Amino acid sequence: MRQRFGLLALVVFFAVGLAVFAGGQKEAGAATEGTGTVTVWKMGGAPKEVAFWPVVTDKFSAQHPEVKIKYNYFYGQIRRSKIIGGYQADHLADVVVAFGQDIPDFAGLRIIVPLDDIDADTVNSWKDNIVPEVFDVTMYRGKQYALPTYVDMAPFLAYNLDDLETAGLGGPPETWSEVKEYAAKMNKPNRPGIALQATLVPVDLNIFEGIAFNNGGRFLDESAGEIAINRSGFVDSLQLYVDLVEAGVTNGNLTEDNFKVGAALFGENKAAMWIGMSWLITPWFGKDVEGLRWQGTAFPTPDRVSGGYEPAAAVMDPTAALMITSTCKNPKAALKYLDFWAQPEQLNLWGGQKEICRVPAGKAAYDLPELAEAWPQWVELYKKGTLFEGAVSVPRFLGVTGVEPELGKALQKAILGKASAQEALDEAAKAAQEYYDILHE
Amino acid sequence: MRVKRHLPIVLIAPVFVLIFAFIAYPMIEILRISFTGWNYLKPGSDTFVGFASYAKVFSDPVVLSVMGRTVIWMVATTALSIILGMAIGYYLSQDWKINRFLRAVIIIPWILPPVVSGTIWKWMLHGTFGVVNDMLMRVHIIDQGIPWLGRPETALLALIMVQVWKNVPMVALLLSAAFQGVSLEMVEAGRIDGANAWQRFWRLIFPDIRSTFVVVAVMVSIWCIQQYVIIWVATQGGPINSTHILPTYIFQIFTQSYQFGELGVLSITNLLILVGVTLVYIRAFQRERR
Repeated sequence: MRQRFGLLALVVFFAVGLAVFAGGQKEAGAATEGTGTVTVWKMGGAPKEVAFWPVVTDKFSAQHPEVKIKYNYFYGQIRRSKIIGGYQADHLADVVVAFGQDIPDFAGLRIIVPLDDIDADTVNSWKDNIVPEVFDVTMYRGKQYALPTYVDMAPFLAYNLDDLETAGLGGPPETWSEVKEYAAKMNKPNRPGIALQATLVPVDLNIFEGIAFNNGGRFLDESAGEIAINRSGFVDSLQLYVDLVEAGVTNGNLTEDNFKVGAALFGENKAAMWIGMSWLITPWFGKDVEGLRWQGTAFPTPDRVSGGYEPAAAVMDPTAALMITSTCKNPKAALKYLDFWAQPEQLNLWGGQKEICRVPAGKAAYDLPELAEAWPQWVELYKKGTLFEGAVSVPRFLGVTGVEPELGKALQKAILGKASAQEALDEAAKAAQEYYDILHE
Repeated sequence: MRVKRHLPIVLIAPVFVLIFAFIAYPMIEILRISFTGWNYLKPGSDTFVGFASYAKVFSDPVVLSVMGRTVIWMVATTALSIILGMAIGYYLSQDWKINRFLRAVIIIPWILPPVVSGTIWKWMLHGTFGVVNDMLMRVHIIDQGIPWLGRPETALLALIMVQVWKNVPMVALLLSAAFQGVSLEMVEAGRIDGANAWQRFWRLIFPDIRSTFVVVAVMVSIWCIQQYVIIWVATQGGPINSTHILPTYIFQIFTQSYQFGELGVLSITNLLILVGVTLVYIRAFQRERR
């Protein structure tokens, strides 16, 4: 009797299991092309951006009832670990909004798929709406892996107009020598002439890379497969940081002050100048902006370019690029969501809001009066065709996220006086090269 | 008869299956990975390389310094948490009205998520904006802000204090419960017999709380060695690796360089340290029971 009961229980168990499994299969397979559920993970962003992403998503849902979007927002600093962990646990969103710099690693890990493999025609149609230089930044090995919505560019300099006038200086510095001179002239007790940052967060490193690229440096010598951060382009740029620190004209805590702290120091009138990215201080400081007279400009160029490469006017990265993951069950539906974002109406959201302050990816944004009013220089340069001239992507190659922290440590060593700029970068280049060789041998 | 003989095995089997699936299998897999040169970004690298990853890891001066720092971190945070927790726990064990309130309030640092604790302390210890520096300057202990988390010389010490701040409430509550079980008559008898406060504590009170003390000590050391969130949020192991301990270093490899072979070696090392601590606990506990 007991045995019969046991057998019956086993049969029921398997029958229920099969039914559940079959039901799951049916649900997964039920979606026809371009329909179904799409999960979206958005990470980080300025407060206004964080507010409008779900609003735009709701608008998409209203226009596309055949696609059900499950939108989730996460703290920006966990972006990579969240995505990689999600992929390994087979619990990843269908669409992730990540950095352009993540593309080589995510593609190498097979986390994301080329968008042109899903529907090349749709992806090609985006070219009509998006600035070509920005569109190219999300390409990797000849494939389009993401939709850029804007780019952040580095390096930029914010300067306090009152300080400049008090110090008897006519305009912002134009060369590195002038940066040092101006910082010294505007330096006051407990109020540095210039705020810098040197933590390990990628934005801090991107800002420094922008300066080094501007000095003819490159992270990687692609033709030789050599890490090039210990060559003069980078070394002299690091020496600029060291010189400013040693002159006592910077904030005292570079290794704990990240870009947000740098922005806050400047925005709260606690520093006369600040090196940042194109968004400058606007998204990051809280209040009293009216009382502050300031301007922003491209960071000054070196007196003499010492690196061996063509000086890059700036480095840029789309830090909210939409990517479709390899675990996505309805890639066509996910692409519809991306296509929605690729339209001028959505891309124009980055056109002229000072609180957001990104360099728009959408061509139409440069015709907006709001952008012309907020950032007249950008519009002027764009119309002349020079806004993106000489700008290149932030370092992007397979394994870059594994070697970039070595650069961060080198910055900290030199700034804290534990090694010279050359020694620190030699050591970093050696460690980075070893890792690079493992991946590329 | 046969059913009766097999029933215990059938009943225990699910537990064994679960233990194997969730504990034994991951450990075996980590051990296997540690003998490979696997880099997650490099297809085909998941091959057996013998002890090559072990040799590489244990000849890396950075890893050796991380291991040394892990021991310092564990010992310092455990010792300080226990000492402070015991002192506070003793006062909380007194039957004072205010203690009911304090017992509820003191738990706040413990219940805060580590990511919140890390963020709060990152700002509180900041060289320019931090409230800690502001207070120290107001009482003229320092004349300008110290970037506690920005200098290799002070960063680890500052984070040890943060971890102690987080541990102490739970240690205090657990030990206060143990203190409340101490026989007051015996302590009073000791006092009448001329034992001073120090002697009363070590000879009469401590033996009564020793079992709890051992359990708490081991728990705290395990909490500490598992901790990586606070450090990661506050410093990401910097500046210049000065706050990296094994868990943060493992996390860095997992999220940045994907050198899973080395990650396996470090995870096994971390596991061995934990096993070592647990063995000490088991031996101490057995001695107590005897």
